[in-house]
Amino acid sequence: MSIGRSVVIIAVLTAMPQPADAYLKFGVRVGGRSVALKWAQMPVRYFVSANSAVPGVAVGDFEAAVARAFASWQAVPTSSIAYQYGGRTGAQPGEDDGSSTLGFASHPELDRVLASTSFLIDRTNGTLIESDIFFNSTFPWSVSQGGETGKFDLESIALHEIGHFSGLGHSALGETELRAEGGRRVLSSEAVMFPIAFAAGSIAGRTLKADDIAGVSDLYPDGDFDRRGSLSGRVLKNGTPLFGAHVIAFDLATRELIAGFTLNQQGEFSIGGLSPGPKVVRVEPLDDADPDSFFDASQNVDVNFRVLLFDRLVVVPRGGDSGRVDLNVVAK
Amino acid sequence: MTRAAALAACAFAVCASTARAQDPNSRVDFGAGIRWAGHANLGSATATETTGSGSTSPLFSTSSELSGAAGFGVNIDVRVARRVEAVAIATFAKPTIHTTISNDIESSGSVTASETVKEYAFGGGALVYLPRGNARLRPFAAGTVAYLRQLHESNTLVATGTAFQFGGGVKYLFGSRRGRFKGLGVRAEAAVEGRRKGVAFDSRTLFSPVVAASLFARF
Repeated sequence: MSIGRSVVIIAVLTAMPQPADAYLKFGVRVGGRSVALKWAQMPVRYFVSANSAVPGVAVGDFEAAVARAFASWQAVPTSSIAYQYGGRTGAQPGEDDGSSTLGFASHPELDRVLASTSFLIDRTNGTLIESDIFFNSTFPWSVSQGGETGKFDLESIALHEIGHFSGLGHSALGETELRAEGGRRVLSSEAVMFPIAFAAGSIAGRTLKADDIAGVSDLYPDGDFDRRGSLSGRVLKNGTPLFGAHVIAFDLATRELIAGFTLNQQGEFSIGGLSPGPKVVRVEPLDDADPDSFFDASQNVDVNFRVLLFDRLVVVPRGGDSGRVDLNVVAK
Repeated sequence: MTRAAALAACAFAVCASTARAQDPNSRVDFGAGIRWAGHANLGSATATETTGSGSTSPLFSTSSELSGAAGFGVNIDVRVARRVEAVAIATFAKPTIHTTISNDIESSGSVTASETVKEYAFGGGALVYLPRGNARLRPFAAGTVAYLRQLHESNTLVATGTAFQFGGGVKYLFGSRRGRFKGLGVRAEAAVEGRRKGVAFDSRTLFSPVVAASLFARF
């Protein structure tokens, strides 16, 4: 068994060479092909580092907050993902001990990283062996039910990291603006898996959105998820396939926003987990976060095009695919 | 035909002729014609994202309607009482869903996205002749309920629902004859149609005006 530890989440993310459904999944090369990284056995057991305390957050508070976040993912009715708390451990997140550990760790050098997830992967089949999450104790944290001004909500950030822990990559369903002091400020987002957190004090990230639910359901399908459908096609600019375009499907009845990316050199995308019915399709450049939050830095993501609102309603069938649609964007 | 089936057929024929013998005015109208249904407002929906305070921020807005469309219809009206007919209907039309997308956070102007729907309805109801009129021109009020089956453009998704219609009109018989074929006529009517479910983006009942004209043969 070949085992390799990947580095922190932002660096480990690579696009699947084939269109993936709904969102980015972590891909790992197995036998010359890319497979989605996921857990093979349920429930997934996790431990909490016995040293997981920072001012205002005792170990018990930490346990309760992450338990709520795990429960949110586990409650998705169309996903079979399940977790089990294994108790406290003397291990620290990041130790290759076969146990998935969550806890605080001090990383002042990572001055823009609130938390990070790392993996131990069985490279023979792409299954996860271990996944650890550290929360950067350099930042102020809160477990207050209503949030605390100036402190980051542990449950919200844990919800995001547990998405990674489960195999999900980042979603681009969000709007940001550049800050004068550097970095970006989130104006709004519609996915817990958006790569940039809300400002300190916010608890808006405690609730999974349709895009998150589609993502985890596609990785671990259950219930009537097979009755949902997909929307697929290509994004072209001047007739040339476009890599890294963000494609959003909006359901007129449910108001759900679920999105995907063009993920190969043919400019193809596939958005899965969609409720049946007509969809409004919108294409936008990946300009609300750094492209390397989504794709390997070696990938050439084209952001030089205007937003496209497709002039057709695309019908997603029950349990099937829309059939390929070509979305032609124009340069800015 | 098996013996049992043959007996059943004979029994039915005897009953039918008996009924006809009891009611010399018994008749059936077979009609076919065109109809036009007005547009129906499918409502508005805004694509929103969540802000850090938990409120929503619009990404873009949509407003949808099912266009007015001409179609075809057939009907069979069977007289069941002096002034009452039982009605069976079947209609077909191809309306278009138009969704106007506007106020996009990153794009100015608006775009209309469309999709055409094949729409079938099968149902029945009652037609009541009003006291006014004469032997050739007879006004009526009618109501029907129909099973609505709408097939989306890609033929991969069906939406079903109920359509009910209330209205009135006139039947005009060009001339009357003795014998089995009693004559030709035209029927014109106006109605209000309500729809539940089917192609709809919320739970409201959608209302639209309907006008129809048909040629009928009376037997």
